[in-house]
Amino acid sequence: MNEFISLTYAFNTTSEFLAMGKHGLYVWLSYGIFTTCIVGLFTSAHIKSKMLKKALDQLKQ
Amino acid sequence: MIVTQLQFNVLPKNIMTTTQPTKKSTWYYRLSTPKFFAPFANTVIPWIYSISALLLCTGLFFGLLASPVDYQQGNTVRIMYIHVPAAMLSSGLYVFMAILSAIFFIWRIKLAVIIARSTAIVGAIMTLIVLTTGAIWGRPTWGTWWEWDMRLTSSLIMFFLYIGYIALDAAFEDRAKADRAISLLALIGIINVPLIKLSVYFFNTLHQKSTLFATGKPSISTDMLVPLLIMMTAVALFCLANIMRRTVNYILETQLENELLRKESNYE
Repeated sequence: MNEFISLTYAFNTTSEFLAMGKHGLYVWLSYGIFTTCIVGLFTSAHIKSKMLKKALDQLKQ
Repeated sequence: MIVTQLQFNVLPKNIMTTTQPTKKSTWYYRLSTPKFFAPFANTVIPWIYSISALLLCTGLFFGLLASPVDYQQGNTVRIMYIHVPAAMLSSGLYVFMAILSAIFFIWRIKLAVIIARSTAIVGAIMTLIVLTTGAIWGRPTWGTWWEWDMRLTSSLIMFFLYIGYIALDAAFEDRAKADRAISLLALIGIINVPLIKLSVYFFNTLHQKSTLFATGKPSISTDMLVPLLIMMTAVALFCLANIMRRTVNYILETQLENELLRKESNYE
């Protein structure tokens, strides 16, 4: 299996991974903003959809 | 009784539905009506979200862990895996929005505006990601958070166009007027898209030129290109599903308003 997929990791330890060289703050801040935006888009649409469906069901009863 | 029923069945269908001639009842025509779009969207949305999540996990794994460090930029190059997909979608979704606005003006398909309104919110957030991650990337590589050069300024204008579209949409009381106004704004704002694309070629800017669409072949290592393409597909699919979900929400909202109006008129 390893012959086909040879993964080379850029980091050896977890602390190295979190430090991202000396740019940890920049990289993790960017990914944090990205994750917040994506999760925000997903949940806002999802919650509204749930609310609307519930309201429509109540009206039809 | 039986005879009338038989006759009823024998009648050609387009007599019963005079507003929808059979000639137009092709799949794309049916899909352009909220009645058919909503159930279609409800079935495909979970699938698109799932594929997107799967690709997002793969892309993030490769982008953050299993892709090489840039020899000049170090690990800040990993910001690319979110900055570039968001940038492509920021412009791409605007073009999509403008096309939908044109469709609304030409064929008067109301669903086009509803999809465009959903797209505006997603596009605005994508532009926000581009601007913030760009600034964060710029600090260690260019030595500045922000510079008033063409690429950055035109991206900021793009953000204001999206915000302006959303604000204009909310400002109108009359739905028909709002639809026309926002569609016109979307069409006028399209001139900003080539400005963003070409700004790195025609103006003196800090921003680098395109590497993906460089003349010949992409001037980027395959180890970086693959995670980038995975992330681009993942974010694009996420946006597609999210826009569909928001569109269905608008349709449900209108349904709810109509139901409420009907109930009120029944009481009177």
